[in-house]
Amino acid sequence: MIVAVTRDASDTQRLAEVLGGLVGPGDVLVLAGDLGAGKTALTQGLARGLGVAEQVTSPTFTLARTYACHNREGLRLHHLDMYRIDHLQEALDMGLADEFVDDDAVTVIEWGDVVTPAIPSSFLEIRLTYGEDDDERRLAMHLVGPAWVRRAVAIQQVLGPWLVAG
Amino acid sequence: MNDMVTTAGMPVHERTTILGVETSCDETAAAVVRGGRDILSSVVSSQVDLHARFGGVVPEVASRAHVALITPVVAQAMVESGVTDADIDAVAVTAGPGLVGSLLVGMSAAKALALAWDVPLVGVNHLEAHLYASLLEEPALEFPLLVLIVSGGHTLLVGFHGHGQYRIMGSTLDDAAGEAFDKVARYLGLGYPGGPAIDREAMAGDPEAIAFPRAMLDNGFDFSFSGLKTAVINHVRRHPDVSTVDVAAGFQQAVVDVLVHKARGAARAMGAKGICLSGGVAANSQLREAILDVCVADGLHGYLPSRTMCTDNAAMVAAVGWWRLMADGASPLDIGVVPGIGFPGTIG
Repeated sequence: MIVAVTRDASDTQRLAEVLGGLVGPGDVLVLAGDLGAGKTALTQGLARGLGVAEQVTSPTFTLARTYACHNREGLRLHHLDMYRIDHLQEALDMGLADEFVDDDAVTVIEWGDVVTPAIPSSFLEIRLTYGEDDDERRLAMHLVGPAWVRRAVAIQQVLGPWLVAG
Repeated sequence: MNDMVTTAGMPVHERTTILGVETSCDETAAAVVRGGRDILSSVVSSQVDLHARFGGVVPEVASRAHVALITPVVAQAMVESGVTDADIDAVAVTAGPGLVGSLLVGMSAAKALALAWDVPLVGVNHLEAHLYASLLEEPALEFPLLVLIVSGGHTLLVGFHGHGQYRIMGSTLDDAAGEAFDKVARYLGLGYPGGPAIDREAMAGDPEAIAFPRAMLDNGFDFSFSGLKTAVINHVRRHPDVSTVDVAAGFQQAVVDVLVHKARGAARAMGAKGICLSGGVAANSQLREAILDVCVADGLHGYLPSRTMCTDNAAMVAAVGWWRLMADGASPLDIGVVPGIGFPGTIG
């Protein structure tokens, strides 16, 4: 478990932008946490780190949006949101496994903790919780599977300024 | 995106009858519209008691629901229209934006029908269809118009300068307004759908009791509702005994203030003759009232379509299909869906 603290939403975006440097094709990030915890803000920062030119907006109603990552040739960012999904079957119906997890893309799944049975066994889970004041957030990162575990040291290095003892 | 249109227009007239098909998001919808204006039928799955036909289990979201619903919804639209298959001159279908699996269900059905009936197929843009929703109820609309599309998935200010001539004036940078309504309603325990729930609750509250932030973003025309959502949550966390009606009223007032302020500014900037609402949030009573007030004050026409025309429907798809058929002609039968398509025919 790697734990970071951010001061506010734009600080969460900066952290995610830096994290973007360690993310590549086939990676899945699962974002969990209460309403307003900063899941979309985190995705916006990650998108910036991957060179997405378009404005990344919340996919709660559209369920999924796909963006081109301009600083990595051929790479796409799938941004999914399971907020409205009540059953795993609905996630499968919308093409979670078939359409939105692939070798040419980074997949970010907001409210994704309910669908982990349907995604690859290796993923990074980031759980965001409210901190001590209104804007502060605590990010608990859980590295699941060898593809992520072997990046633990690198992640700790780039996220150094934000890290706190778990 | 070029496969949306071909170059040669097709003659259409006031008797040209189009079947519209819409499956871009949650609603499965079909409608028959004559002459781009005259709605002969408009069927939307959520308004129909289809539960009995599916043993009480109708999936709420995603493509499997559309697969189950598309055939009965199209059949019902045909029956209610009073026309026969032979009377249909073209099939219009939403090609994007939307969820790929959901779009494909409508697209496949529309292609099959166009092929079986030997009539042209025309793929249309869902957001452009929202602009034409207002024309269905107000045929005498005068351009240029400022259209505020405000729903669960979209918050957009569009300058509607003429058929096929649009300018995006502003859009949300994070959450759509309808999404903010829905999430705040769920957080306050007011149930689903959140828009009507907040609207009801707010009537009993004091909109001035809590001063929630208005994200004006330097008076440009873009929106941000994520900060407001978080401000509501922070307020309730700090004041667990706060009156829910006051929270709902204060939140709604903040959303409406921003929407109306930006719509008014955009209408002025483009020299609009009127302001038109579209999308599910356009049913919000306070928003309707506030937009009309601004229109009266500024000498503009205010167009407030009915709730059924504001929310997703296929009549608007058939209506825009009529215009697109005239302007661009039929789409090729191998047209694909375009989940991330932007606005067509934009200027500037």
